Amino acid sequence: MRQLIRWAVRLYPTLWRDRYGGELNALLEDIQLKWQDLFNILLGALRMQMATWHSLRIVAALGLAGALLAGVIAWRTQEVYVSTAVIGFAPAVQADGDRQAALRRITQAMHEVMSGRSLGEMITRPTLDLYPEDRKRMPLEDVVESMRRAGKIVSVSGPGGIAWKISWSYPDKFKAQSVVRELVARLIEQSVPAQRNQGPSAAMLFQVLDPASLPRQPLIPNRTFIVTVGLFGGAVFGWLAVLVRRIFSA
Amino acid sequence: MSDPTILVLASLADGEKHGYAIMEDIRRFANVRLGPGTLYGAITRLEQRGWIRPADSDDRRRPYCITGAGREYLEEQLTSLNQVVRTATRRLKQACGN
Repeated sequence: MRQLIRWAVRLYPTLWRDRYGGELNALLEDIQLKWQDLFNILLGALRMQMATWHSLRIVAALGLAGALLAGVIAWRTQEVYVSTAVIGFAPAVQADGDRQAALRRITQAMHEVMSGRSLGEMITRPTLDLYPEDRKRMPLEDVVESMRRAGKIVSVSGPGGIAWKISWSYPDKFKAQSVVRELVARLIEQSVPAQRNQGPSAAMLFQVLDPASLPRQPLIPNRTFIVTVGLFGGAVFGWLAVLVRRIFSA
Repeated sequence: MSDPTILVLASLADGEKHGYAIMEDIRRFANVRLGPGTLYGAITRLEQRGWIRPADSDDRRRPYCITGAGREYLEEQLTSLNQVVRTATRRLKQACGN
């Protein structure tokens, strides 16, 4: 430990060591060293470095440290990809009555597709095998709830006046795309059979305007943003440290 | 009382001492073990402020002595501390009387 502490003394600024280094080493030879002395020396060296550094150097160093810390956090954060698809009315659907009926059906279909039974089946399907870790530590109902929270079906304006955007987020971008593709297929499937018995005018109610996308970039973490925040956060902290140093040295 | 600046000045008030002697003295009279980094941080600050100065010596264990300004500062701090001690003691006695 004595060797480690001697090494820690080298972390003091050179000018300081030239003046006090010999005395400090003599003191370290005289006392019975403890582990806390190592931390005490390290902290002392840090304080002395801060005291002798130029203000800009402190701001820059802490900014860099903040960026590094944020970088580690950003790279350790699990990525989440979002796949989206858009479906709208098929051109064949013209009459207002047909549209109203179709709207009712798709609303019902949405509830059906997002039901626990439907999502549970997708989660446990071997080809998808979603949330394997969560399924080990929580009941399926809770996993279904997680999946429901990760998905979204919202109405947007489309060529036929209205369209539906289906999106779902997941750490695996290929699975995210597969699930959205499956949700779209189910949504259309659930809407059409209900109306097949009601006449030939709406044999195909919906069309896929945008197929399920394969996301290239994760939605989170936005690493550039996190590192930038770390950089500026560290710099602000450095600036505050400079202020504190000025107050205490006044 | 754990302010290393005051503890070092108090230790040097009765004469010059080197680092180890200061550390041991403080441990005896205040029951506080100053770490080596803390001690030399305090010594650096005190010397920069002109409250202590190194005594003439060729030894690596350089002794320090308190300056006039250091003595004045210590007296001010002790007066202030005495005021706090007297007030707190009086109030404690009053509280016990109630």
